[in-house]
Amino acid sequence: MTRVTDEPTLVLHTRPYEDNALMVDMLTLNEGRISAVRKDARGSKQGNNLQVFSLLKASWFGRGEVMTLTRLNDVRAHWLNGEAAAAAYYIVELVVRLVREREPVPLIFASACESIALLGDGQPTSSVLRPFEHTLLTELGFGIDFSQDAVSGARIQKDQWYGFEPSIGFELSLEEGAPLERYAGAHLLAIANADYGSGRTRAVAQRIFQRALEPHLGYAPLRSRELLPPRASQGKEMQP
Amino acid sequence: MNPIAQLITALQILPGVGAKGAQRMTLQLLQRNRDGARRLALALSEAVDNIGECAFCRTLTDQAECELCLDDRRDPNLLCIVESPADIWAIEQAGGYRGYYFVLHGHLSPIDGVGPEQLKLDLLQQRVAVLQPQEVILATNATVEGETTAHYIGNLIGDRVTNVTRIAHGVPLGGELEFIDGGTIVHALQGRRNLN
Ligand SMILES: [Zn+2]
Repeated sequence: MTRVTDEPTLVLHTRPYEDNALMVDMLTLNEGRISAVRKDARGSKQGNNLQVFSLLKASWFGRGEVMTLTRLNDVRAHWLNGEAAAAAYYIVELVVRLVREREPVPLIFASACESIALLGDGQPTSSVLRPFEHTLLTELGFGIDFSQDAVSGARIQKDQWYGFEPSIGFELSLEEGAPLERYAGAHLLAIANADYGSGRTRAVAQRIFQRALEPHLGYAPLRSRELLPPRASQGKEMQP
Repeated sequence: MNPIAQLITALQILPGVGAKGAQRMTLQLLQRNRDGARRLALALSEAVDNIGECAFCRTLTDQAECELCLDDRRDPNLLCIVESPADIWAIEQAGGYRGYYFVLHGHLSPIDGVGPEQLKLDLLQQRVAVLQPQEVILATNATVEGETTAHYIGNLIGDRVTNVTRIAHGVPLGGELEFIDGGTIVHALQGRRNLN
């Protein structure tokens, strides 16, 4: 029998379950991704606290696959709309699709919580999502070295151009036989230093992380993209 | 599987019905109320065969166009968008609303694979274009998903409709602030209205 008390928790998803209960998918600080049922949740105050993107301290007990949620404390809800909602759903979607159940990923947890809080404060989505993607890839063991040429081992030079292969890393690219996509060393070094001040750096980071995530996401498209406001989604450089 | 076991299994698709409850229901139907059981079977199979979605508002109906949409005494200036037919029933029972409806059959939820296409928002846009209401009332649930959905639809039809409104939510009738959770209070403050 497991019993956990006041565990920092991010609500990833809820759905109605049986008569009056909610099935909750959540990411926790020390226990990883957990599925839990909250009984008598629908139409009750405790149940109303179980909203997607909410941060709270959860207590649960149980054995086997599905836990039973008891107390929910220190609830901080995030009511997001438009681009911020699409971005928060993108974070949740990446976690649900890439983080395995019951595998503690404290740094991903911390980054997801911080990112959603920043989106709630109205921070621009691109400056929130790029650091999250970076942390996610690193913590899942797919880290990218933005400061070193993966083939020659040399330091990345700010005035050189580099090609990128997700399973390998960056490689110096000369004019002849250059790959379709090349990135300036200056942007790669900025990303290595988590310096997303330049819009161009953010766009390069977006593209590289997208390519790095693709092999792990498989063919099913990310659904959070569809949530972008209808007018904003046209011809706009943004991920999701 | 024998017919009794089949029935017990079939009944468990109902919300809140487990193996024990399904057993009790099966005995009730077969031992004590065979006529009732026959009526239930008939009503069920007729409903399943004949009931579909209204071509205009997507509520459940056995006609191509539902009774609500056919009722020309209703106010064509008002269109109310809800998540489920049960919400129409709740609003109709409460009284006071005389406009038309549109049912989404859900809310936007990327994790469940529900996007604008699954909610048939193209049909909603058509409905708005034909009806040309003065006001569209977004009456999706006061959940994060309901809010996101309302906001998305507001963006989608905002250019075509003079007033796109969201139902008020927050402090419940009879509620004292002291006993209300933080999320509800934040929401109530965001949705405040002018008194002067
Ligand atoms: Zn109708």
